[in-house]
Amino acid sequence: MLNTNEREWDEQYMELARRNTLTWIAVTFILFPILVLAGVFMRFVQGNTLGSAREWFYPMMTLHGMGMVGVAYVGGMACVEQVIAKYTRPSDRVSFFAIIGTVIGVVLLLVSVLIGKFAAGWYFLYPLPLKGNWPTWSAVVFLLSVTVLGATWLIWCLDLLRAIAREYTISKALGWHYLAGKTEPEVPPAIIITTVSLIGAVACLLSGVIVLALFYVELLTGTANDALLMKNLTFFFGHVLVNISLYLGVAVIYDVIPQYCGRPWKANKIVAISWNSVLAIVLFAYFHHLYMDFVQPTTFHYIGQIASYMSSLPAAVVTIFGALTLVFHSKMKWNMASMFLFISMVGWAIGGVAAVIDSTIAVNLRFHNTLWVPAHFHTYMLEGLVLMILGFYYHYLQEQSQRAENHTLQRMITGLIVVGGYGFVLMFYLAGASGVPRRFATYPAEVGHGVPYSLVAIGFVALFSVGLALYISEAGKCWLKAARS
Amino acid sequence: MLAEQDPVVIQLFNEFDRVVMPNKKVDQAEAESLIAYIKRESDKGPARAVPRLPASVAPADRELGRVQSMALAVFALVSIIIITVFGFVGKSTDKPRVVDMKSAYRLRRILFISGSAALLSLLAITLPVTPYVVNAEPKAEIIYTTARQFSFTYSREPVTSLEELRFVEGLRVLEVSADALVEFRVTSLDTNHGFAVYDPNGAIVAQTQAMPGYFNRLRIHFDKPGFYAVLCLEYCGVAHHVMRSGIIVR
Repeated sequence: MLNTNEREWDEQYMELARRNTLTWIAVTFILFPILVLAGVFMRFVQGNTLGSAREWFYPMMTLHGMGMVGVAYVGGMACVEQVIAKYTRPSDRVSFFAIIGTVIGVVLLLVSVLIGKFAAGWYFLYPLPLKGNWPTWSAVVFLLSVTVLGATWLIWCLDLLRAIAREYTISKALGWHYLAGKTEPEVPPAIIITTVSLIGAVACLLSGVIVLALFYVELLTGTANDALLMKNLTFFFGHVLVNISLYLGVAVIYDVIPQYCGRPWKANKIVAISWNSVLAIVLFAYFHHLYMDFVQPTTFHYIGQIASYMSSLPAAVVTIFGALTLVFHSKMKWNMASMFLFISMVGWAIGGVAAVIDSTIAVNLRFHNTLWVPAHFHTYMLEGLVLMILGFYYHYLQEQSQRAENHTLQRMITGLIVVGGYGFVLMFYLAGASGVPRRFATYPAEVGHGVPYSLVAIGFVALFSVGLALYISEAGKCWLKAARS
Repeated sequence: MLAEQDPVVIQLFNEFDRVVMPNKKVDQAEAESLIAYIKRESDKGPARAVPRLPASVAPADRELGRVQSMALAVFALVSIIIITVFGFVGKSTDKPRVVDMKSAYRLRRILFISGSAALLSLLAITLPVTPYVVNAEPKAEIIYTTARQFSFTYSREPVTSLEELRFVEGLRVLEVSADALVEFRVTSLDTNHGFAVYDPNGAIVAQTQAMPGYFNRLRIHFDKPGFYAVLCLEYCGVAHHVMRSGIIVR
C-alpha cells in the first residue's frame, strides 16, 4: 500500500512519463514522413524522373537509412519504456535526456548530409567515410552525430536495464527461474523480451563505440585500420541494432494484444527458452552479412547460416504461434491499434522468410546487395516494426484521449498501408531476384529493368502515403486531446 | 571548373551521369607529370589490340537464374501460407468460442518438430554448396582483379598499391575462352567494392567483395560464350552506379 507521499510521487512520475511518451510520438510523427519522402525521392531518381537532382541520391540514401534506423529504434524504445512503466520505474530524467540527445544527433546528421553532402550510407562502412568526394568536416560531423546518438542510446538502455534489475534482478528478468522449473515470481513476457533486447542493444552499441573510436584514431593519427575487422564490428552493430529494434516492437505485442483479445499471455518455460535462445542466436547471425568476404574464416560463414536459420524457430513456433492462438476465436476488439499489431506479425514473418532465404550462402551469392536486401528489411520494418510502433502509439493515444473511433476510416487506413506497403516491397523482391543492385542512383542498361520497377513502386508508395497521412491525422487528433488534458 | 562552366568539363560531367569527379588532390607537378605520361604513351600508339569495354546494353533475352527462380518460388509459397493462416485466424474472431489449449500445445509441438526437421534438412542440403575455394584443384586460370573508385583492372600479377598498378599490364575488360575455369583474386586499393558477374542472360552468376588489404578468391566456370557484365555491388561512393567492367567469353 502506497502512502500519500509515495502516491504523489507516483502520480508525478506517471505524468512525466506520459509527457515524454507524447514527445516521442510527436518526434516520430514529424521525422517518419520526412524520411519516407527521402525514400520516395530515391525511387524517383531510380525511375529516371529527377535527372537534375540525382547528385542528391546518395546523400538522401544516407539520411533515409540512418534516419529510419534511428526512428525505428527510438520508436521501439519509447513504446517499451511506456509498457514497462507499469511494472518498473525507468528514470524520467534519462528519458528526457534521450530525447535531447536524439534531437542533437539528428541536427548533426542533417548538417552533415544537407550542407556537407555526406553520402557514405547509414552504416558508413570503413573506409568509405574517409574516401568520398565530400569534405572531411562532413564525415567528422556525421561520426559525431553517430557518437552522440550511440552514447545517448547506450545510457538510455542502461537505465532501463537498471530499472528492470531493481524490480526483478536480471536473471529473473531473463526468466531463468522458469528454466529452473519455478513459476514464481511471475515476470511479464514484455519484461523478458525487453531485457533480451536491451542486452543485445548494449552489446551492439559497444561495438559501434569501438568502430567510432577506431575511425577517430585514424583521423587523428593517420594509422589505417583493418578493413575486415571494421566490417565485422560494423555489421555486428548494424545487424543487432535493427533486430533488437524489432524485438522491442514484439515486446509491445506481448503486452497489448491480450488487452484486445481478452486472453492473458503469460511467461512460462517455453517463452523463456525461446527468448534466451534469441539472445544467443542474434549475436551470431550477423556473420551472414560477410558471406561475400571469402577471407573470413569459413566456419564463421557456416555459423552465420545456422544461426540465421535457427533464429526463425523461436519466432515462428513460440511468438507468432502464441499470438495466433491468443487471437483464434477470441472476442477480439478490432480497431486501428489491434489491426496494426496483428498485421505487423505478417510483415515480421514474411520479411523473416525472405531474410532466411538470403541467409543461405548459395542464394546470397546471387542476392547479396541486390534489391532483395532492402526488400526483406523493408518488409519487416515497414510492414512489421513500423506497424507495431504506430499500432502502439494509437493504442496509447486512444487510451489517453478516449476519442470516438471511426472504424470504417480505420479499416481504410489499414488497407492503404498494407496494399501500398506490400506493393512497394514486391517491386524490390522482383527486381532483386532478377539481379537489380541496391544503392544504384541510376541503372546501366544491363540492369535497366530496375527502372519500371521503381516507377511502379512509386505508385504503391503513394497509396501508403495517403494511408500514413490519414493515420497521422487520426492519431494526431488523439495526440492533441491527450496533450491538452 | 564546373562553376566556371568549362565546356570540356561540362561535357564530361554530362557524359558521366552528372557525377562530380572526386578530388584526387593532385598537385601542379603531379598533374604535369601525368599529362606528359599520357602524351608519351599516346604517341607510341597501341602496342597490340586491347579489348574495349562494350557500351552498356540490356541482355537480348533476360532470364532469371535457376537458384533465383527457386528462391522466389519458395518465398512466394511460404508467404501465401503465412497470409492465409493470418487471414483464417483473423476471420475466426467473427465467431468467438473457447479454444482447447491442449490441442494448441500439441500442434505447437508438431510445428516445432517438423519445423526443426525442415530447417535441418535445408541446412544439410545447402551448406555444402558454397563458393569458397578450399583447394587448388582443379587448376584454374588466375586473374588478379583490382578495384578502385570507380573501375576494375585485370592483370596476371597481384596489385597492392597505386604504384604497382602503374607498372602492371592491366586490362579494363577481360577475354577468356569458353569453358574456362577462372579464379579471380579480388582486392581493392581504396574502399570496399563488389565484384559481381552477370551471365549473358542478365542473371548474377557469382560475386565477391573487393576489400582493401585482402584478396578474395572467386572461381567461375564460364560455360557459355558471350558478354558477362561486371558491376560493383558494394556501395563505394558517388559514382558507384557507373563502376562497371566486363568479361568476353569466346
